[in-house]
Amino acid sequence: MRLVFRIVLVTAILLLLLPTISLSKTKIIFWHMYDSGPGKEVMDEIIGRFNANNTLGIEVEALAISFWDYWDKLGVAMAAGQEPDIFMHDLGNVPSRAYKGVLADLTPYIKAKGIVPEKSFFTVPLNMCKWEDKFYALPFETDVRLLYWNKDLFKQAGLDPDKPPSTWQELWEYASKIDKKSPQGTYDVLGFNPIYGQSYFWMYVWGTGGTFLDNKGNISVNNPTVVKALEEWIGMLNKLGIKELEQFNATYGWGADAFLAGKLGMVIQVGQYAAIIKIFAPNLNYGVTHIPYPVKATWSNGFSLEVSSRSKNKDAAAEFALYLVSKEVQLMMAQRLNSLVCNIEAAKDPSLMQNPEWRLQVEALEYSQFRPFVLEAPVWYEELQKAVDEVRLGRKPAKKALDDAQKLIESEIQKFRLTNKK
Amino acid sequence: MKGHQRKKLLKQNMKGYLFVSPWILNLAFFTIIPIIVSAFLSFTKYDMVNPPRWIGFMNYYIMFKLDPSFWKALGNTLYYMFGSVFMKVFLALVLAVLLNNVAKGMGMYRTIFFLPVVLPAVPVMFLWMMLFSPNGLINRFLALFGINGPLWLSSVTWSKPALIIMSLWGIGGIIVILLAGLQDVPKSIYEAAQLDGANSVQIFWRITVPMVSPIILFCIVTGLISASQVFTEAYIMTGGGPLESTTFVSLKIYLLAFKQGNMGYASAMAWLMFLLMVPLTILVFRIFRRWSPID
Amino acid sequence: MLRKGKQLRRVIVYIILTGFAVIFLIPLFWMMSTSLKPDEETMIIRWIPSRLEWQNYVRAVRAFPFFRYLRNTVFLTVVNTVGTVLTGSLVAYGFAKLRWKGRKALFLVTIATMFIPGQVLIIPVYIMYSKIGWVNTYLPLIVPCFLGGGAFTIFMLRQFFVSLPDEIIESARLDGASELTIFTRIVLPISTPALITVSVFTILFVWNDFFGPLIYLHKSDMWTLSIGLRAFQQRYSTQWNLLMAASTIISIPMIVLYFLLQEKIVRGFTLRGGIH
Repeated sequence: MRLVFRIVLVTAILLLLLPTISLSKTKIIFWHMYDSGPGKEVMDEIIGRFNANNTLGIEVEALAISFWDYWDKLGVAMAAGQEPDIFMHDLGNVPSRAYKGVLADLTPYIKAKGIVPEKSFFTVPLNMCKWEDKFYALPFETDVRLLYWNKDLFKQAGLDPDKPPSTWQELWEYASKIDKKSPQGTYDVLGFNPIYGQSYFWMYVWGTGGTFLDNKGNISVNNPTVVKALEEWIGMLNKLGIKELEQFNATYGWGADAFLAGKLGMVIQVGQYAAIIKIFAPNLNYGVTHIPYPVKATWSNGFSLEVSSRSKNKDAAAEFALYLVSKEVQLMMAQRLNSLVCNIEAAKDPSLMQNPEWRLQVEALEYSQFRPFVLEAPVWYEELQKAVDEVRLGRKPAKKALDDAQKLIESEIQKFRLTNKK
Repeated sequence: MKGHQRKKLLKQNMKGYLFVSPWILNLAFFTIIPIIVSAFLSFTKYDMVNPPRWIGFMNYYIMFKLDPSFWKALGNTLYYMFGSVFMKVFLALVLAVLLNNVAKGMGMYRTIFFLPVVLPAVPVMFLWMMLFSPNGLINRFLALFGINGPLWLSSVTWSKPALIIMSLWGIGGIIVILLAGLQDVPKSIYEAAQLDGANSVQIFWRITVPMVSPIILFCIVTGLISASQVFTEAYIMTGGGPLESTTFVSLKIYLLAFKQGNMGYASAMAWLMFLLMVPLTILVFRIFRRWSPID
Repeated sequence: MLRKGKQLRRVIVYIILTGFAVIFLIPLFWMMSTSLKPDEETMIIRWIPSRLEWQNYVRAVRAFPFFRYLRNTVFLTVVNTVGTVLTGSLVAYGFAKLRWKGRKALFLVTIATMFIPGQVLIIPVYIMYSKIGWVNTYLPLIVPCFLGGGAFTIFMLRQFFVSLPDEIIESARLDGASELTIFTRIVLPISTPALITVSVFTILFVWNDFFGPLIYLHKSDMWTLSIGLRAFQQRYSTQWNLLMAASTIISIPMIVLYFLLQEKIVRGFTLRGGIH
C-alpha cells in the first residue's frame, strides 16, 4: 500500500515538474507574414527546426498574419508596448523605428557570431538596415523588378520572340508593332504600358541617370534630371494616348491582369511574378530580362527582421534572427518559395543559379536601389507620384508640378521638425 | 406633499439610471476616456512608441497653416456624406413602401435587397471595380442610350459619384429598419386617407413619412455618421486617388496614424472633424423635431 | 374600373421591385460564378466559367483551419448577440420611456460620440485593455456587448421604443406593475420586429467583424472566419476563385438566417396588431 502511495507521489511530482522543465526554455514571440500556402509550411518547418535544437534553450512561438493586416496589428501592439520580441518589418524604413528607439541594436550580436555583414548580405538591402552606422535590422527577403515579354505576341508582330529589347528605344519600336487598336480607338492589345504593373516613374528617373538627391544628400524631386525624365515620360504617355492607357488600365485593374490575359506585349513586374504566371496562366509563352534603360536600374523593396528594444529576451531573439538569415534557412526559402533572399551564399547557391530567371534576379540585385529614405518625410514619393499624376492628367506642366511637390515635401520636413524639437 | 413629490422624482431618476447603467459604464470606459485621451494626444507629438510629448497647439497650427490636404479631404467627405445619405434614405423609403404594399413574395424581395449587406466587403468591392471599368457593365448599359460613359474610378470628377452610386447598393439595411417601422403604422390611417380621396403621392408625404419619422431620423443620423467615416471603399478601391479626389478625412487620419505613426496629428484632425460634425447632428435633430409628430 | 387600376398598379410595383432585385442579385451571382472558375480563368474578365470547378470549395475550406474558425465565430456571434439584445433593449427603454434627470444630455452624448473618427480611439482603448490584461482573450470583444452593445443599437432600439404608445405602459404602471415587469412582460413582447432587426444587425456585425479579432487576438487558434478569408490574398496576387468560394460558404448561413428571421418580423407585427 505504502509502495503504491510512493509511486503515485513520485509520479505526481514528476508530472508537475515536467512542464516546468520544458518551460525553462526561453520563450520568444515572432510575428511574420507567411500566413498561407507553401509559405506557411516552409516557415513552420524553419521554426520547428530551431525549436528542436535543444542546445539553444529557446522556444519560438510564431504568429503568421496576412501581409495586408500585418502593419495595423503590429502598429497597435507597438503602441501598447506589446510588440513581439522579434518581427518582420518594412526594409524600406528601418531608420524610422530606430530613430524612435523601438529597435535593438543588432551590431554586437552580428559581431559576436563572427559575421561580416558586408560579405554575408547583398549591399543594397543591407544598407537599408543601418542607422547611424549601426545595424538595427537584418535583411531577410527582397525583390527586384524585371521586364517580362510575351513571346507569342512578339511572333504575331513579326518580331524575334527570343530577342527582347535591350534599349528603351527598341522597347518602343517593338511595342508599337504589337499594339492593336479596336475600331473605337481603344487598345485591344498593347505593346507596353509605362503606367501598368510594377512600372513606376522613379525607376525611369534612375534608368535615365537621374537622382532624387541633391549634392548635399537632401531630397530633391525638382532637380533637372527629374524634370527632364518627367517630360520624356509624359511624352511617351501622350504618344500612346493617356485616355486610352487609362481605359486599358481600368479594364485590367484589380483582379484582372493584362499580361496574364495575353493582352500586353511587355510588362515590368517583380521577380516572383514568374510563380504567379505558373498558377494563373500556365500556358503563357514568356521570357524575362533586365529592364532596358540607358542606365541599368531597377527598384527593390523587402522585409527586414527586427528585434524589439523592449524585449526581455533580446539575446534569444537576436539568436533566432541570425538563424533566419543563415545560409541554411535562406537557401530553403529560396529553393522552396522562390524568395529573393539577402544571404549571398544562399542566393548564389549553384542549385539556384542554374535557373536563368533566378540568375537574372541576383544580377539585378547588384544594381538595384531602394527609394532614398528621408526620416522627416518617409513617404515623400507619394508627393512625387501625385505630381506625376497631375502632369499626366494635364493639370500642370512638369516643372511646376515637381516644384509644388518639392514644396510639399519640404513642408512635411518642416512639420516634422516643428513637432520633434528635442 | 412636496417631500413626497421629491421622493417620487428621486425614485424615478434612480429607475432611469438603473436601466441605463450598463451603457454608462460602457460609455465611460470604452468611449469617454479614450476620447479624452485622444483630445490630450491632439496637443502632443505621439509617434505610437514613445510617450506623447506636449507641443501645445502645434498640430492645429500645422493643420490650418501648412496642410491644404486636410481641407480637401473635408470637402470630399462632405460631398460624399450628403450625396450618399439622402439618396440612400429616399431610395430605401420608396422601396420599403413598395415592399410594404406587396402581398406575395415580400420575403424573397426583402432577402434579395439585403444581400449586398450580408456579403463580405472585399468581394463586393472587387465586383464594383469591374462594373465601373471603362467597358464594364455600367458603361455598356449607358452606351445603349448613346451615352459615352466616364472612366469612373480613375476620373477625378467621377470617382466620388461612383462611390456614392456604389453606396446605394447597401441600402438593404435601411430598408429593413424602415420596413419594421412601416409595419407599426396602423392600416386604418391609410384607409381613412384613401376615403378622403388622397392619392398615393400625398399619402406617401403626408402620412407615411411623418409616421416613420423617428426611424427616418435614425437612418439619416446614422447614415451621416457612417458616411462621415467612409473608409474601406476608398482604402481598397481607389487608395484615395485619383489626385486625392477620394481622400476622405477618415482615410487621411488612418494613413497619418497607422502608416506614418503620427497619432498626435491624426487625433487633432479627428477632433476638428468631431467639432464640425456635432452642430450638424444637432441641426438634423432640430429639423426633425419640428416636423415629426412623435419625437 | 377601380379594380383594374389597382391591378395595373400592382403589376407596376412588381416590375419595379423585380428590376431592382435583378440589380441587387448581381453581386451574389458574380461571387458564385467566380467561385467556380478554374485557376487560369480568375485573372480574365468572364461572367460564366468555361467549366465548373466544384473542387474550389474543398480547396477553400482546406486553406485555413475552417472548422476551428467557424466554431470561434459562432461562439462570439451567439454570445454577443444575446448580450447586445438583452442589455441594449434595457438601456434603450430607459432612454425612450423613463423620465430622469440628464436623459437628454446623455442621449446627445451617446450620439455625439459616434462622430469621433474611430481610428484615433483604437490606440487608447487597446492600451487600456492591455493594462488590465485582456488582450489575447475574448473579453475585449465580448464585454462591451454586455454593456448595452453600442451607440448604434441603442439609438435604433430607442427610436423603435419611442413610437410605442405610452398608454399601455401608463396603465400598467397604474396597476402597480414594476418597471422591470412592464419592460419584460409588455414592452419586449410587442417589440419583436425591433428586437429581431437589432439581432440581425448584431449577428452580421459580429460575424463579419475583422478588425477587433485581428488586433486583440494574438493566437491564431482564437481567430475567426473573417480573418481566415485573408489566406487567399497574397502580396502580389489573389486567388479570387478560392476567396469567392470561401466567401460564399461564409455568407450562406447569414442569408439563410436572415431569410428565416425576417419572417418573424412579419409575424411579430401581426401579434402586435392584436394588442392595438
